[in-house]
Amino acid sequence: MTPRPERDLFPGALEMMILRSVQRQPSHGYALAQQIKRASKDVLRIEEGSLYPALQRLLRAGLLKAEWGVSSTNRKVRRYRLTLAGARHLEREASSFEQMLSAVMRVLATGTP
Amino acid sequence: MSWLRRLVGRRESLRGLSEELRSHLEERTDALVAEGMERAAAAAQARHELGNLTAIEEAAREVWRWPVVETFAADVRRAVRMLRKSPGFAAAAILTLALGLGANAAVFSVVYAVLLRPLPFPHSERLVRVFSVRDGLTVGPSPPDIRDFARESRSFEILVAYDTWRKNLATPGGEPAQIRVGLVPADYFRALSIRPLAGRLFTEEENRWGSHHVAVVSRSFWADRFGSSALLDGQSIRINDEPYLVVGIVPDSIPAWMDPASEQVRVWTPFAPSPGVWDESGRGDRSGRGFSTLGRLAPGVSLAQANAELRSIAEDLGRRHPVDAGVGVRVEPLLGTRVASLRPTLSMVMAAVGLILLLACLNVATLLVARNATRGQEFAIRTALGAGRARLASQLLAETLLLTGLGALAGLGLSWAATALLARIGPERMPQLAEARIDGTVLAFTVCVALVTSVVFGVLPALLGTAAAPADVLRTAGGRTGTGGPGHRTLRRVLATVQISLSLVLLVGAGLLVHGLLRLQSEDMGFRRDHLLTQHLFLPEVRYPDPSRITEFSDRYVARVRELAGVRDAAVTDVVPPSYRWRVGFTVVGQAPPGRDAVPTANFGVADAHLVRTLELRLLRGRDLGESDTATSPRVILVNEAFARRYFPGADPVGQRIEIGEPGTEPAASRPVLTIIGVVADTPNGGVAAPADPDILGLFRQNPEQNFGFKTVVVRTTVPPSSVAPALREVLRSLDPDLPFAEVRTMEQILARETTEGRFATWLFGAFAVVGLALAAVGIYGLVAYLVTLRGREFAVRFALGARTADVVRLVGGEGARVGLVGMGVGLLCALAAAQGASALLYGLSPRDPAAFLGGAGALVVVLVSAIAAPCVRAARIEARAALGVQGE
Repeated sequence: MTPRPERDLFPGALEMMILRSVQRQPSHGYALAQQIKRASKDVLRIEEGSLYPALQRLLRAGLLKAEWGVSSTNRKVRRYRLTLAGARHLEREASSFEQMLSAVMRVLATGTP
Repeated sequence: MSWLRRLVGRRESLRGLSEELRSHLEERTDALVAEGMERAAAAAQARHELGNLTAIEEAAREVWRWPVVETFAADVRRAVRMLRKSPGFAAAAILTLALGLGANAAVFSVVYAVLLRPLPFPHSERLVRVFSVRDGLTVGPSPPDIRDFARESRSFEILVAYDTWRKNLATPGGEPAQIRVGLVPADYFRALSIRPLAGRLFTEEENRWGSHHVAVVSRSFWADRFGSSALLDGQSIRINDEPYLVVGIVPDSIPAWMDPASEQVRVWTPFAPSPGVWDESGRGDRSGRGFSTLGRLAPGVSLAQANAELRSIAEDLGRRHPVDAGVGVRVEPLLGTRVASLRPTLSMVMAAVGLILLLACLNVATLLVARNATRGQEFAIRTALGAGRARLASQLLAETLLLTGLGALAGLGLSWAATALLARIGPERMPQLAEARIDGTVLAFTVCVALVTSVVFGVLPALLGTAAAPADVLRTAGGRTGTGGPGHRTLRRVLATVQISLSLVLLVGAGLLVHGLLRLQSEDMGFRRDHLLTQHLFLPEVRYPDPSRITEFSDRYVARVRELAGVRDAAVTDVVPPSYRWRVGFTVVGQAPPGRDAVPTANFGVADAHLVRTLELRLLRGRDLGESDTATSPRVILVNEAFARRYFPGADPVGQRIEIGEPGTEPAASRPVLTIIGVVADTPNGGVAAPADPDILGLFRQNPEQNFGFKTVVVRTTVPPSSVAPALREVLRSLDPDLPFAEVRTMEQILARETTEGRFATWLFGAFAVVGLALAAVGIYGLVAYLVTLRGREFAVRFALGARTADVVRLVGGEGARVGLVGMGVGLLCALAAAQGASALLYGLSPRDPAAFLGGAGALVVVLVSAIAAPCVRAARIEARAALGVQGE
């Protein structure tokens, strides 16, 4: 059987980070991995391999689109960019994520003695 | 369309994945090297960070998977495993379906070739034929009629009259041969959109008598006679001993069925059949052979419009020309004439093959019902474990589709062989068949039929198989045997009943066809059919310009033939049963002249004085034609019984005189007067099945106006008839080496040719009936055997309690007998209703022929009894202890 990519994150978080990252600047797989690692200041542990299936999921959902280009190190790479649907999706998810996060925080806060 | 986008997206997105991952690794390695790491270590580190490449790609691919399809694929895989576990069931089901689907594919390939495939000409839907009609009978239109139709109508782009004739053909250095030559204007080819490959078509001038000695030949004819590489350069061929300059070569695209005699025409000369064909005297020339017509409708003109316009023109012609009075007209699509004589055969065979498929499907359905019944437990357990009914049905459907798919594949193999065979059976009389083949359309048809089949006959058993509540099944089965509920039993009874009735319909059909042919074989045709050889003779006008020369040659030839060893007698004639072609109108001398529309008509044949003796034609009254009836003595004739019955009812025709010719067409003085001297038995003269029409038989030496160069030599032999043919050929060659020795056939061959369609249908129907009988036998055997399996334990208990063997056998046999009797009753009724459709192929046999019905029912009873007997024997042999013991362990 296929080993499912293990996520230290909750489902959907990686996708959202990819979308946000790509929204700021269209980039290819390796660059995305580095960006996310950098941006999370190495707090979040992401297995790099899980990035690629996630990209395929987003492609399939039509939230990203891919095009071939040349990287800064002069390699042929596939660069991802946000689609209109992707931008809308990110907007929605980000706000619901924030609501959820604040709700979790409230619950955690009331729980402290 | 979203699935399509997904499919394309999937390919697009996955294609670059490997490359993307590789470039990721390289980039990471470079970065690590830049940080000061050794390259090999950096590469290892990069790979470690990225993870298992295969797993990543697999995970990415997973993203795109299609859940329904993937699940169904799993079902199919499971179905393959299930079928491999029960090879007997699988083989039976696949073979049955292969028979049903294969037979259908083969018959459809014929039907498609004959009925449906477009003609090989551009805009062929606009091609039509025009027929003249009088008293509801088709009478070939005359050339002046066609000329006036073409001139006065706006419906046609092109409308031509043409003809085909048997002629003697010789090419430099080749053996003389008799072939069919088309007599056509250039517009004939233009109507079919045929352009010459080399040279030209005929000019208008060449369509006139006297300047018509030019020919167009087909590419294959050219290759045969002059070599395919020869260039067109003033070569000529000899037709009836006259040279014809070859002016053009056309492709071989005109199918043989377009010719009235179903022969491939490969040589054409201009349409100038006789000097007077375009004269007003030719306008009435539609009683004898008739001409063929071909038209191309103008764009946008419908068949109905063309018919209406020609009808009004025909009415107008009838007012202007007395011979055209009462002559109507009919326009028919050319496509319709392709089916022509094959229509009854095809309809019957199509019906039969449909029944076969139905029978096959019923059998497979029965097998599936039985199989699913024994799998009740499996389903019950799976349902109990949470499988939905839809899941189970989907799995059963997968099994059915797999079975049908394999059956269809095997069936296509069968049909490929069968089609090749069909195309070879009757090409002489049924040239349409030669075009039958398994092509894309036939494949598509088979796939559709197979799909419908599997859905219809797979879903019902599937629903039944999954209907029972799991707890009931598990409880009643006691964990040992699978059983079917009462629903199964009823369904299986119905299926077996339908099978028996369908197979009876097929059996009766086959019985009718066989009996029709057999009856024909033994029927009294008024003459002796065996030991009779015929040969066609054509004496070209150039060397045999007048009737006396023709008579002289005929007499000389036949006199030499009579001296040959093995020959008892021989005659020269222009008519041979079962066909007669020349029809004349006449009046009886001494009777009031009839009205125009009630002129008595009869076939008029001329022969020498030996014909009656050679054919052993029964003379019923009066005397035979004799040598004393010379060219100068009074003209005498024989008539047949049909003639005597129709025109002299209750009176003796011998001694009566008739005048040939329709009143008003010729001056009375020039009309020949003939005296009836005898009456002969009826012989078939309009095909073997039709009742005989009135016939007149005269002597050609007494009737010069009907003494033409085409004759048939009939030879009565004492040895097998074909064996005298070489001697006959030698005689002909010694008298005139340029005459072809053509159309040598025995009378048996001629009669067999007449019944090609019937024999074709009989063979197919017989084969279908055997297959149907086998399927029905399997069906009822399965039903009864199933009963024995199902109630084996009960029978054992009965035996243990003292039941006699006879009781149990009665119980088992009773079930079979009930189903068998009901099935046969229904089948007889269906057969009675369906038999009417076969009447065209029965050659006069009644469609309610008791022999066929009894024979069919008898065959079915024998097979059914044996099919029921086997399980009865098994039931009788059940030993109480063993049965109970096995079940109790």
